[in-house]
Amino acid sequence: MSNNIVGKNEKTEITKGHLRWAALFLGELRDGLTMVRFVVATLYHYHAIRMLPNHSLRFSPNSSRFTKQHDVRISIHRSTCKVPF
Amino acid sequence: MQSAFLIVAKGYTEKQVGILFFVFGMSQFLFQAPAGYLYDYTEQKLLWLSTAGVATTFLTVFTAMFASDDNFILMVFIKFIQGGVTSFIPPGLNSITQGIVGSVGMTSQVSVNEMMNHLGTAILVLSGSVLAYFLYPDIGSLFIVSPIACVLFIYFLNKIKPGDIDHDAARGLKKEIHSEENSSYVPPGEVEGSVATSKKKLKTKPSYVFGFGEESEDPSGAPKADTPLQILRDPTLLLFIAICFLFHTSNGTVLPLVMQTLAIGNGSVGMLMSGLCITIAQVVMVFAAKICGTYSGKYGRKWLFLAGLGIVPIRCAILAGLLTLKGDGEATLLWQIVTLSTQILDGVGAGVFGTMYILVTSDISGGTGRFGLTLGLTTAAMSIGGTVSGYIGQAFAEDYGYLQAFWILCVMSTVPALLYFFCMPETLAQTEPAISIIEEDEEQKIGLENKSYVELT
Repeated sequence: MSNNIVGKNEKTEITKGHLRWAALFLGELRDGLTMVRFVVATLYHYHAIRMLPNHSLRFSPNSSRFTKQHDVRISIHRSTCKVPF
Repeated sequence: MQSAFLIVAKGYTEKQVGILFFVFGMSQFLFQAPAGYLYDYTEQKLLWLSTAGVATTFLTVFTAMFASDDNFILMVFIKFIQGGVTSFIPPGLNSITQGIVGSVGMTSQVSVNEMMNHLGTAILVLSGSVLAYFLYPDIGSLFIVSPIACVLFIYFLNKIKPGDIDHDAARGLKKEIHSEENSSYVPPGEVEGSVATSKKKLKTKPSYVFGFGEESEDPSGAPKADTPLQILRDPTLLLFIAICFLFHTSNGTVLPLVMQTLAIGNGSVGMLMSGLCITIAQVVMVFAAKICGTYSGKYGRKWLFLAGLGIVPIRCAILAGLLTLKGDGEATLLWQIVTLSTQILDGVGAGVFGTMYILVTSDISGGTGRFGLTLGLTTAAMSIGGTVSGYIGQAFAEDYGYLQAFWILCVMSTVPALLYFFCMPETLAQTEPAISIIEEDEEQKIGLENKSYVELT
């Protein structure tokens, strides 16, 4: 479908404005809920460290392995982080 | 990072979460190209995009609310659906954009869209991190942000009238001004009917002809879009798809590795550091998108794109150097700040790439009528690259250490840069005018005889 573009410039500018605003709020959706991601990533790191004995979450550029307890199942009580679900 | 939520709050193991997000990534990869193919034909672009936005939000909140050990299989299915739904968003927004501004206006409008995209993300994350700093550990209220963003997105999207979108331009069909027999455009400044145009309606339903067998001529003589097989035979496109895959494979995992090296310490400072990682990069991406919009239409796509690709190996080398300097010692505040500042380079690289890949895809697909499909293919390559990247980055860090991981990623990230430099041609069409948007008075001065197609602005 083609549109007659005569006299459309002003309307096009308004439409482009709507598109800009839509794009402003699209980032959160496109990136898969960025807010959720960063919050829980930080929560994970903080509680992962707290759960490990002697804060053994360390790394060394000279060591061959990143020492981390893979078998830690994070069992944070929901009341600790107070998320509604 | 939604995986972290599933581990923290839902008790999933890392392996289970890995399966969920592998399924998500593969689903995105599978659905990107068909989504683009759909957008090339449908005239309900706004409806499809709105539905995709709502569905994405709903499914993610659903996962957050109902995921448990007992319904893991259901969650796998939900993630598969979510991957498919999310894949409708990038080709949708960009098809609508091209339908509104045309291929000439894409340079500036895509850069504005990307600027607003990154600005919105930066504002959300920055405000969220500040709020979380004070609200911690009571951060549940932050989860309401995403549905609010979805509602506002739908509101502004639906203010765009369907009649404002030119569906032929949206799919990248260029019109010859003087080919009146097949063109139904009326150039600006002319009165409809003054030129003997035959208003032949272009095909808006898929023919399901994918390019195998003999091509049949359309007896009406209406312009036809290239078949998907013709698209896939374009070596420039295939090379570009490979570059997109390789870039995301090497770049996608760097941010999580940086966040892991930084997020050590007490909860509130760690939260700020994590938030700043994203915010700094997003703010720089705003400026990167602006620069791409301003200069890529004038000076071409290649050198800007190369700047974005070349930043990644530099960033990885700097991170490896910082780790070497740190050694076995404690991470000082200065070291953390310097490491955090490498996110500026992330902003440059990802910002340039995120804007330029849409413009290059638009250039490559110009005249083919398959902009949506082409964008779907390139975005699919990025999706699969990101999925692979997440795994290999963590595998390198675990097996070889962070230092070696950054060096490996440094070498890997030079490959797409070299490929682009040596093998990829300049894609900006030479017949395009040097500026991306022509004001109404300049249109009347320049006239249309020098243009090979019609701008829609």
